[in-house]
Amino acid sequence: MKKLLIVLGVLVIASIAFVYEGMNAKEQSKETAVNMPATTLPASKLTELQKDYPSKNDQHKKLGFDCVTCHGDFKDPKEVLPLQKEQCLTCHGDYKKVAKRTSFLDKKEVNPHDGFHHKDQLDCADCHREHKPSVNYCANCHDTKVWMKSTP
Amino acid sequence: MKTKKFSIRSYVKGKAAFITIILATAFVTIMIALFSTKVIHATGKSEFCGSCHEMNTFKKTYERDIHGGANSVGFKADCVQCHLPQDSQIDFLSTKVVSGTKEVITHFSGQFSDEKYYQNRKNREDFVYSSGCISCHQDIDNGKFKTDNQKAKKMHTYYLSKKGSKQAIECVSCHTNVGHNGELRHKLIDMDKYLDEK
Ligand code: HEC
Ligand code: HEC
Ligand code: HEC
Ligand code: HEC
Ligand code: HEC
Ligand code: HEC
Ligand code: HEC
Repeated sequence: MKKLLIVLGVLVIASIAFVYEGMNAKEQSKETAVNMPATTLPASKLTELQKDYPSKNDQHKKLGFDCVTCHGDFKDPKEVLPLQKEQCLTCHGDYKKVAKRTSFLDKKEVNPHDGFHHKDQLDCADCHREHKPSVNYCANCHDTKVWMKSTP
Repeated sequence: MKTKKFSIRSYVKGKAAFITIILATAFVTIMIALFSTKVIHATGKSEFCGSCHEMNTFKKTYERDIHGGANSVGFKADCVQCHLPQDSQIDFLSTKVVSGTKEVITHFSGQFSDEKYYQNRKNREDFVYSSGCISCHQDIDNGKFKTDNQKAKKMHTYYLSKKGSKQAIECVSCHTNVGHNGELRHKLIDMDKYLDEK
């Protein structure tokens, strides 16, 4: 009788542990010795600059990009230029790929990446900003709130 | 019938013990069933996951993806290879039991909706496991990956430099379009609610 209760207890604990494990299974990735190429400004300085040039793009922020990941190496933030669409597309593939992501807006021809007139001619930064709130270029002439949500 | 039951009970002495045995046998049977390779495999195939109507969208988009057979060599990744951790057998099985049970419960209680899946996409790091990707794309994780693709080189170096640190990122943090051909947002969106989104 006692033995059976002990067995039962062990089984209950085992199954709780099993289920708990399943709900909390997080991968344990090991640190690697790989580093990004050295930059002119030390990493600490780059982190500091993030206060002056914060990211307003939630996804980019989550990925924790340094200035140099987007702007390339530089000595002085003053010499940094805004990004061209070619630079965005080094990570985002090509305009077609981006347009496919918002293709649910194609029906009314208001896909911001492949719309009625501008097609793929616009610079990404005409709408998406990194350090300032984004805007929607189409809104210069149209009420875009009936077409699409605000620009991320 | 009655006499038989009585004799078992007298054999193990007492009602509590009887219940204990039943429970223990049930538990052990379920465990054996789960750990048996056949069941693990059968319930891990895309046909099994896709057999519930909830998963129809996911199966169809999957079939149009490189990983779902839309490639010249005809290989297919199973759903579980991306959606369950592949780093250890225990992680794999326990996550499988828990998330599978969740799916079954939502199925039978009818709580499922495209909208929920849609909203949940932003948590993709929680339901797509890098260890799964790595089990096939090992070279990327061990840094031996050779490619002329400079974008891939740079970004995978970035991935490795963050790995295991506090700001670690996962394969899907960048590769949001794998597995379902980048079509999920398109397929799950509810255009009536779209403009209310922030
Ligand atoms: C995800 C890519 C990205 C990252 C990371 C990034 N930036 Fe930018 N940066 C941009 C884009 C896009 C613009 C142009 C649009 C804008 O101003 O928001 C810009 C504009 C700038 C400008 C203004 C250029 C001008 O003439 O208006 C400066 C200066 C700058 N970034 C510095 C930095 C610094 C310093 C960091 C590191 C803390 C950094 N950036 C990180 C994308 C990025
Ligand atoms: C260093 C690589 C990199 C560069 C350069 C980059 N991005 Fe991104 N961006 C990403 C990644 C990775 C994500 C997250 C995965 C995804 O949604 O594709 C992301 C996400 C985004 C998102 C958010 C998507 C969402 O779901 O909210 C927008 C918008 C975006 N990028 C626009 C831009 C624009 C505009 C530029 C150029 C000024 C740019 N990105 C430059 C890597 C980059
Ligand atoms: C005319 C303004 C405009 C331009 C130009 C523009 N975008 Fe967008 N972009 C938007 C809007 C608006 C959204 C939000 C649509 C939505 O999510 O419903 C968006 C969404 C995105 C997303 C997220 C899509 C997703 O899957 O959720 C990415 C990534 C993106 N843009 C990248 C880019 C890149 C890269 C460029 C330049 C090649 C670019 N955009 C040019 C307005 C623009
Ligand atoms: C410089 C002002 C301007 C900008 C910026 C602009 N449009 Fe237009 N758009 C117009 C005008 C004017 C018309 C009417 C032209 C016509 O009907 O031939 C129009 C017509 C349209 C139409 C057709 C509407 C209909 O009723 O048939 C669509 C769709 C459209 N624009 C989408 C966009 C999108 C998407 C953007 C942003 C990428 C944009 N527009 C940016 C001026 C602009
Ligand atoms: C190559 C890896 C891969 C394979 C194989 C794969 N998926 Fe996915 N799955 C993903 C990724 C990545 C996402 C996130 C996509 C997004 O955010 O748009 C996802 C998203 C999902 C979601 C949405 C979850 C949510 O809450 O939003 C479901 C459900 C799903 N997959 C089911 C399946 C099924 C069923 C199969 C097999 C038929 C399968 N997946 C095969 C990678 C994969
Ligand atoms: C069953 C093994 C397997 C798994 C699991 C797997 N992949 Fe793949 N993946 C492949 C194969 C095989 C190819 C095709 C390579 C080719 O065509 O050259 C591929 C192709 C790719 C490509 C290039 C496809 C393209 O569109 O050009 C990317 C990116 C990728 N996988 C990312 C991932 C990510 C991220 C995951 C995890 C969510 C993952 N893979 C899981 C086997 C796998
Ligand atoms: C920081 C963003 C990022 C992360 C994290 C990331 N990748 Fe990539 N990956 C990229 C980019 C960018 C490319 C190049 C895409 C292109 O050429 O358009 C790429 C390309 C690939 C390719 C295709 C290779 C080729 O030669 O074209 C595969 C396969 C792949 N990644 C798998 C993975 C796997 C597996 C992981 C997780 C261990 C991972 N990636 C993590 C950004 C990333």
